Amino acid sequence: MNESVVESAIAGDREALNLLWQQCRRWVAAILLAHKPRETDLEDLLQVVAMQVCRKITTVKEPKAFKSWLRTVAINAAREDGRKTSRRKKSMLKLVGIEQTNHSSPLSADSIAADSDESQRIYRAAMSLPAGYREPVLLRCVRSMSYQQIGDVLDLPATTIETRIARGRRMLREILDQQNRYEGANKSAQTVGGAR
Amino acid sequence: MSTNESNKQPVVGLPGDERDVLISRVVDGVATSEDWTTFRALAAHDASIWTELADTQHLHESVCDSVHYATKIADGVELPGGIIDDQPLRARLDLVSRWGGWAAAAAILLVWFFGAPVSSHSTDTQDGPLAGLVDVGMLLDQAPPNQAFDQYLAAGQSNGQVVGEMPEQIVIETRPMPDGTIEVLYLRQIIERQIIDHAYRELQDESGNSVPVPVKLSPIIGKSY
Repeated sequence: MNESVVESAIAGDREALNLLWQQCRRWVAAILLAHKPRETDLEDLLQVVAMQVCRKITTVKEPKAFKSWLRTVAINAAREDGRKTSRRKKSMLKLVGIEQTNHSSPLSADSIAADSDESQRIYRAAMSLPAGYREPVLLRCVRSMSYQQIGDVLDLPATTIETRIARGRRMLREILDQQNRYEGANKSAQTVGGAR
Repeated sequence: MSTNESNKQPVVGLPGDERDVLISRVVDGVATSEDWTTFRALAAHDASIWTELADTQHLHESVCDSVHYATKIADGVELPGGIIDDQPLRARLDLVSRWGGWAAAAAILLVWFFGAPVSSHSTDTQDGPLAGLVDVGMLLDQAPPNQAFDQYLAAGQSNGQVVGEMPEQIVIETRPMPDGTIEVLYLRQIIERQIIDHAYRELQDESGNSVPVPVKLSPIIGKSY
């Protein structure tokens, strides 16, 4: 990302701001994905972030801080939506007088490609990683962002990003291995039960 | 996916984290020649590292496919067409609400939001956005609520503004009354239709104020009601 473009955008150059947004919106979407409530529409949140960018870009002190500032805007938007969603759910349930239950819907709002159960299972496992690992693992998938570029967004050294991605992937393997073992044990139990 | 327990055992001489980083570098295509030498040396003693590599590669690609699919919607999200000042909108809404009640406010808001008079197939000869409301007002004066409602549905369907009423009515609450009757609160859902020139998404800024943001919609070939 060209620093002079960021500078111009901060100074109020509309064209530079548009260009900047086009360069960043994919990874902003990945950040939102990592933090938003599952049922929230990603596009709505992106619109909120776009609006904040327009309104507040001039408050960014220096170009180097832009990416981490944008990440903070995205995370705040996702968290605010999380709070609203939670309030909305509570009041709806109160209105209809239903006990709160934990419905775990499949990937509703970001339903991923037509994909197999296997892909959905992997995606869900990735989303269950702790945020510190989830974000770099997802960002690495956005146009193959380099460790350095991810570090700029997360405000961390590239070496830390590399370690977190490596650990995150290992955790992902372990989560899925654990699920496989659990499912395997369940199937065995069912087979034994059926044989009796 | 492999469930081999030996996957997690670090090879002697290489701590678990370094092993993970090495595999990760290979997956990301950033392994140096030194990394490859280390990898070959490890693989010579512990072939399970190949399985681990294949599993990690598979997981990475699968996650990337999903992330790519989920985030591609971002390419269609542009910045709002200008820094939007919603003060005039709020002032106008306040004025309209005081003047004509919520129905008039809603009608004028619709016109204001869409930036152009709403096209309709109305046969009304009166001009202006409130022309229809005057007619509805007359109907409401003359008929009991149910009949007025039916008239509204019929008039709306004939001019294309009302698509229909949803068959199911949703019960919100039932409560017994002192006289032995039961009060039922329920929703009736009407589907209406408008043709507009421009679409706006209503969002809230950080203070909770409503702000209209233009939405770019691609034309589609499809049926209209």
